[in-house]
Amino acid sequence: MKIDLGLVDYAIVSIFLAFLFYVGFRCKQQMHSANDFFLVAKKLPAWGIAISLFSLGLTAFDIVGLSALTADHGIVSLHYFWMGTIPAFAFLIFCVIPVFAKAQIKNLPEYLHRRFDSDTRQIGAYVYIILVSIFCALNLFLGAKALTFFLPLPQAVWIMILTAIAAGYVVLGGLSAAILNSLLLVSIIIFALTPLSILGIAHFGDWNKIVVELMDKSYFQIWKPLLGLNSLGVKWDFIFTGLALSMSLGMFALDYSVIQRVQSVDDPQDAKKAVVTAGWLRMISPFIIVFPTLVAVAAIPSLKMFDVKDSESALLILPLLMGNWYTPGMFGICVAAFIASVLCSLQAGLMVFSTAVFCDIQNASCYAKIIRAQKLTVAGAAVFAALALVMNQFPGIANYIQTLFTFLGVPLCAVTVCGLFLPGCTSKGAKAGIIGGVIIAMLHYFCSILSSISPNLLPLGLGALVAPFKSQLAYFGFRSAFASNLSRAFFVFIGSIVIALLFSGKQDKTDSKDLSLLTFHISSVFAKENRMVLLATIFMLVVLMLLNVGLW
Amino acid sequence: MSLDITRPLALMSIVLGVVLYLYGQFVAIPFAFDIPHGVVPIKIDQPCGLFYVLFGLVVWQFGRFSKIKTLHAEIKKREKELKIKEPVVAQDQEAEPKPVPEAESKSETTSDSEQNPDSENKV
Repeated sequence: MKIDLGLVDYAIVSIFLAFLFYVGFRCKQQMHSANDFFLVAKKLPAWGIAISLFSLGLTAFDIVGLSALTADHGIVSLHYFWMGTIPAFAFLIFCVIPVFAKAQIKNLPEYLHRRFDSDTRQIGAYVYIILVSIFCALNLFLGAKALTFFLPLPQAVWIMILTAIAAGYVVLGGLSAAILNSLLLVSIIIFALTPLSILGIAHFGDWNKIVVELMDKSYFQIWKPLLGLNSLGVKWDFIFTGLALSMSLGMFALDYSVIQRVQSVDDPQDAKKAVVTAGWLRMISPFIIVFPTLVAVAAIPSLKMFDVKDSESALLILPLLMGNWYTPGMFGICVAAFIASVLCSLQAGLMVFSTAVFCDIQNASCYAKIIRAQKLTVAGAAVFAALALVMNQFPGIANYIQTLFTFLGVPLCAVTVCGLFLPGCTSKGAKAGIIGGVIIAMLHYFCSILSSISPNLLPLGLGALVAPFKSQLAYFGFRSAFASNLSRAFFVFIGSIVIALLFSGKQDKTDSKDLSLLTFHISSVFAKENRMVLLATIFMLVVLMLLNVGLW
Repeated sequence: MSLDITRPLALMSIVLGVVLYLYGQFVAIPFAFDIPHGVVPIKIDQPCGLFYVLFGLVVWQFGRFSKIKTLHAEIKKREKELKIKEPVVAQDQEAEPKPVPEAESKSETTSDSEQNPDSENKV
């Protein structure tokens, strides 16, 4: 299928980019030192922060990647939007924000420094840099793939263009531009995707007709397929243990860019309200991502004929529906939306990269010249683009991103949780927890590889060693990388906590006063000023439960 | 932060909406869209453009509303601050009387008495 972009489409994309750079220029006028580059003048309203947080869940990975997952496996992908986010946001509201606000901590490595020591801070900063670089590269790769559908430039050229746009306005306006522009990015993504849902409803007239069209009931259930054998190989308990407990905490509650945004609000109550609002927005976001995907699979006859399980085709499912139902004019909005989806992650990633290098690794003064911070942002953009180009050459790498997160992100998240909840955990224990977590992840990965190979084929007599444990190794034989990652995340999370506690020596008594500031207290949950937020969060969790029961 | 983001957001939506609507009105060719009971010719640009314009206007009004609300809140906060600080200032002045130029002291007394009639006795 070929799409011809008209002059109006180029005009729309140009107007959109002009507004992004305008916001960057306006923010530049307020900046005088590196401190202004990394911090937002604390006058952003809670709703602005909420949309900014929501933008972190509208990345190319969410739009292109999760629509492909939906096309392949049905609405099981809703777990990513709901169980993978909402419990993490509740954790952020009640356990993270009160502690960070009380101790006046701006980011996660700073917390690790104050709770443990400077070495843990450095480890944390390096881990975040690695994870954010790879995640941004993945987003560049996926976004470029979708954009080539509309404008057939080579993917490498798209990667360079997208990186230049993000680096351009972030260098100008720093964190302020990144947060403020999130609002423009979110609005353009919603403009492009919402009409697809409305047209889908008009096309079929009834939800049941979509179900009949697809002739597969399990495609529309989120829990029942997980009770038996399913194409993903994910069991129901993995959703609680692997996704909601282990991975989502690292991705949405203890994520560098989430904390950076939440801490840019002056009042912690406003920050909590922002997170609750972002949770509600996240809960309704499947309507603009998952629903159009289902409509696409049901509505386009050619999609039924070609194998949507082919990952390449599944990645282009939303652009294909847009190509079928939209005309010039809306094509421009679509191109702008896919650019926006990449920018959502890139701008956050660039700020994490530059802040982590500047504040946590170089430990530079906040009053340093702004050019230094800007140079770091450009360096970050270069790293992301280079990684994306490598990914473009070897597309198989993209499948290992989540695996890498379980190796590095989950141990760090587990240690941070230890710091928040267990006053007995020391810096020695924290470092042991991180290293132990990585080792557990490696062992789990090794076992899952061994389980998939026949012992006879193993070299160097390894087969004889493995053969007696074949029944035990069968546990690690997962049907998909996704299931393997969820299982690994849980093992690593629990393992890291246990190792951190085992290796923690005696706490220095002089630290006890500081520790009370840096650890979670249950009294903060039931504080008088928290009542409205508590009720709103409980209501959100009840609605989440009802939605899960409804789509059982 | 001096930049009110609702302005660029509203402007962007209005400009994009107008461009889309005009394109849909004068240039675009309707395409046949299948619905359950037949086919309807639609120009998707027109309703979308109209929606973006409306969205932009709503955001513009919301920006104005939130600005007025913020100003009101700040005025109230300032008023509250002034009422709290007055007795403290009066006590300080009683404890350590400082030489104040005549013109200034007169103006301070009048302003205090305008805001709070009780403060006259304290001063």
